[in-house]
Amino acid sequence: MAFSGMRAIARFLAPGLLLVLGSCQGSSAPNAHDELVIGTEGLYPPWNFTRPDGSLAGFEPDYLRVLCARIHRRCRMVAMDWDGMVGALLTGKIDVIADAVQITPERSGVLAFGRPYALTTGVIATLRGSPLAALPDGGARLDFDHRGPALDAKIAHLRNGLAGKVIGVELSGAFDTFLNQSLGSAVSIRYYRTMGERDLDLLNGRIDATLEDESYLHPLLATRDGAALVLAGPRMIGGTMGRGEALAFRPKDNALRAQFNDAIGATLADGTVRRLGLQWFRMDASPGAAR
Amino acid sequence: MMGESGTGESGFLADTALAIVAAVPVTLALFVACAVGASLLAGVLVAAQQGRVGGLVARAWIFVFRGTPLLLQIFMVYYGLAALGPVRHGPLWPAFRDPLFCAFLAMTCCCSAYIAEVLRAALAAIPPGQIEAARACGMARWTLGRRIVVPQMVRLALPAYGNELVMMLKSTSLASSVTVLDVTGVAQQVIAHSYRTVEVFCLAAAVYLGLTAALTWLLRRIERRLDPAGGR
Repeated sequence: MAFSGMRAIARFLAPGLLLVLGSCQGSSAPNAHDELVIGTEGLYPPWNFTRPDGSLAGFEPDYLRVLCARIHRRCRMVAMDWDGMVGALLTGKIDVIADAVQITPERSGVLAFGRPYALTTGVIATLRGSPLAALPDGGARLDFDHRGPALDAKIAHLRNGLAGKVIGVELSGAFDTFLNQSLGSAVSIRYYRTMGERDLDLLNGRIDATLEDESYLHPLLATRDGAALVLAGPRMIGGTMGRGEALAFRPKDNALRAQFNDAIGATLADGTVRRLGLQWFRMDASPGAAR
Repeated sequence: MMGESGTGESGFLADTALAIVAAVPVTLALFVACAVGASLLAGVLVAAQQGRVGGLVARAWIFVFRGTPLLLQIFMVYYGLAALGPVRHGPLWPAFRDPLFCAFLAMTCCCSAYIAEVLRAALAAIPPGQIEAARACGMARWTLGRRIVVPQMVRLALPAYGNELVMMLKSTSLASSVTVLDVTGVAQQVIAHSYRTVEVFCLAAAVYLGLTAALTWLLRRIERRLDPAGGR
């Protein structure tokens, strides 16, 4: 439980500051010489994150380089906060969103999603010493698109296990919608604008647990501060949490979306997605992988 | 905007307005607590400035809290203090664990610095002759304060103090940055799910306008009541 605070603060909040500084330099109008501008958060490792020098790295920067080469387009990735990203796409400031966006029913009303290139589940993380570490159904897979008595029983386990606890979640529209609808009456929910702030509060004990994507939590648990955390309870997918991660486009950009879908199909077939997944997530996160 | 297909649109706006209005008690509670806390603390700061050591402490306090952004102060109280062992493992942790308390503490400290300056200016504006005359009549310290200094200070300080209160009311929106679900926090939450930034922020702005309008109306009434030349 040795959580040396100031270092943790630097670790979780400094990337955001860097990003603000970095994004001040040259983000001119899109579509100059048919350049595609791709929006990402730059704060969601290992999908996309900001290096100390201000450059973007991670699964998506690597993967989008491959895709852009395949469709013969010049692409530029820009970092911005998630809460302004959909607005930036719809008003034409960016052309594509590549930010581990879950395909949820709610978002499908506003955005047009490409073919999913990853399929990951949500899971609960808590401090090692917490009573929540012993949540039932550990590791079981709950698919909210296949409702039935078995699923309802597991939801009841979850609700009872978390009753009265404070759950922190990123204000994003995927996991927070699920928490609100499925457990909202049993738990109190805190909403965070960035992952880093949420992680700090999880480590200092302000919140009892979080619901977050496994692909984000696995690498976090491998860090020095994150070693104080442990995964608990079932792995969840479907319903309001969506089915997989995909690029998001403006609904009218059908041609661009079709081009990307062909390229995504090719990279799923030739093993590129699998290779990048093993490199960045230490697992094959592609939709076809049986897990 | 009340067209045939307007049910969805006006339904969304009505739902959003209801959600935002439901958060007004949080914003108001934070404002009232900060207004009371900061005013009392400002009084202490002004009193401290009458002594030499106290003056030094009070000026340092004002220098720090007026010289740094409120948002940073809120982050320092919320994330910074929580990282210190004595706070996190100490008896005060139940308070510091609560985001509303952290916002209250930071705002009270910050606003007390501004209000102290307002009060100090009002104190300096009282003609010294009055105080000397009261002393010459043999008026006791407390009586002098109660009859001569405080009533005039209140009247002189009120316009600038009211200004501070309006600023403070709007500053409560910064509490949303540490997960407090006030008017701004709820607005951001609605935006995160609807992606309709302009309409939602306009509704939130309208709520703040209503609150500040009520506050300025109240302040003007008090000002008129206290005006010795004015009527009622």
